[in-house]
Amino acid sequence: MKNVNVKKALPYGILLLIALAAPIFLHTSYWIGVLIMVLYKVVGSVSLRTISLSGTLTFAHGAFIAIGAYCGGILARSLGLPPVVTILAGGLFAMAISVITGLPFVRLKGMYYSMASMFLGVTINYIIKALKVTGGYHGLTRIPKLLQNDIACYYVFLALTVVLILILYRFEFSRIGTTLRALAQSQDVASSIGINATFYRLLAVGMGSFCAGTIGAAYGLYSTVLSPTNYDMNFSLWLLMYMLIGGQDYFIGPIIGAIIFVLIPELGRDLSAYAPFLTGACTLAVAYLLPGGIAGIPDLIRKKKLQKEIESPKEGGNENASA
Amino acid sequence: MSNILEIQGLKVMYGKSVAIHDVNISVPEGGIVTLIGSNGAGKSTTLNATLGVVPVTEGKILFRGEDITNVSTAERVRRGLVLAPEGRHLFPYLSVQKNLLLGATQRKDKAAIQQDMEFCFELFPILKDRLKQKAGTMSGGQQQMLAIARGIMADPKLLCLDEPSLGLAPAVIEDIGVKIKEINKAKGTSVLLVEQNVHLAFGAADYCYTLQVGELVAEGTVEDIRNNDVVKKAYFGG
Repeated sequence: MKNVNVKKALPYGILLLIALAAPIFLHTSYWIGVLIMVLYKVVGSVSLRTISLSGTLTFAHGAFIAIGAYCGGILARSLGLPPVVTILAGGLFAMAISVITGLPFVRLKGMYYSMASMFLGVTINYIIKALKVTGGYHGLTRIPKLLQNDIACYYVFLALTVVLILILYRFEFSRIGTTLRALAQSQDVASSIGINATFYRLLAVGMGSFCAGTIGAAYGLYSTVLSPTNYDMNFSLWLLMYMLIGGQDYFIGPIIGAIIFVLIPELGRDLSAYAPFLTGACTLAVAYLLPGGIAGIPDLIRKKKLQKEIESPKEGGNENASA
Repeated sequence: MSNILEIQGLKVMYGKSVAIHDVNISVPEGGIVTLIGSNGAGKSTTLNATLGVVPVTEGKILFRGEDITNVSTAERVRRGLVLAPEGRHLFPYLSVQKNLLLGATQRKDKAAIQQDMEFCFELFPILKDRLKQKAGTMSGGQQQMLAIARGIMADPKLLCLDEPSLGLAPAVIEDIGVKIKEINKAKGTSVLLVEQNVHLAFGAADYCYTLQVGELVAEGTVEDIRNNDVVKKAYFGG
């Protein structure tokens, strides 16, 4: 049992060590920005996956990150509240809005939920552009910075990321997570055994949006500038891409996806212009070759091995004879 | 003896077509009642309406003396009205254990849940061996057992079984009938058994209702129905 746990925790441990050590090698303020961007997108994508556990894709996730970011930014700028308060407030506000707007939407199934969420995402973006308090089209500027030292900022961000990921992990591997996966397999059967689908899906939406809003607010405090164009439909689509390419069926999937695809354009300045093409090629490759995503590779290899063992009768015969 | 379930004048319509009409069924406390009928007679519709999965057009459903016609499915399950759907309606990609625990969604009493789990393993030892296996990879009979066990996990006062015999070998069907009686005896659970297979239905139940094209055509004790000409005609076509 312990062995299994160690094996499960190993990839996360390695990633954490890399994350802890990264600023030693990449200490310029540019690279710290990239690293923070990675963490930001990791949490965004993992929390998106939490919402899709019940089997429906949402296109409004970027908008909820924006809500958290703006809420945190406005509170910090006009009231001068400390970061702990504004970051938490961003998360809670995003959660509240997601639950209220989710109430009518989570009753929709499959494709229809996705369509409704797309409408929601676009609408929220337009509202942000129209309001005065958010700075409208030009965005919100002069948000007090989280910490003056970039490297300190990074470690605060890393700590926050670890906490949020742990929360989402606990959530997924609790009874609630199992219930959500049951809903994904058949909402009708789930309803027939007394699972309140609306309640559980709302719970997932609230949980995912809380983490999204929290990381959004934190990122706002780091970047000090918020622009509504950064939170358009493209942003939500990218978060979805990270999850699908990384491996939707695995908790670590969106983490891997986000890390790889935020870093690809950074490999070289010359390459960044081709990043969309590279991403497209990767998506196609994953869709054709790795249906389980990048995180599904170990399982794929295991399956292939098993198939070989079954297909080669010699080995099987020997094993039977010795047994 | 008081009735745990009373269905009065039930009518269900799908769009403009009438699925069932004026159906009256009573299940006594602690009894096993069966509802038989051929394909398309409206058995599953009756059951789904009882569980609140399809809306009722007319009529009333009383459970333990309370009107539950407009109560949500989740609430019905919480009150002890539980459906064990036909075997393929499990969560195929979840393990046997998780399927069982999902049956107990509405319960908080951890110790009692564990006890019921043990009871399920006593009843169907195979489930204990397959605890970590994905439900979809088991045989039809095993899946049916799991569906019934998942029903037990909800701590039902009335357990509704939807065609537990469907697609199973005769020997397995007989076994299922015995298990239904065991559940009834051990836990005092009332049972509403919806069946197409009369051998299983008659073997397990005390009282029987017969549906034909959406209407009740006969009811009585199993002995009566066995010798009823109307039923023979409805069922075996003369």
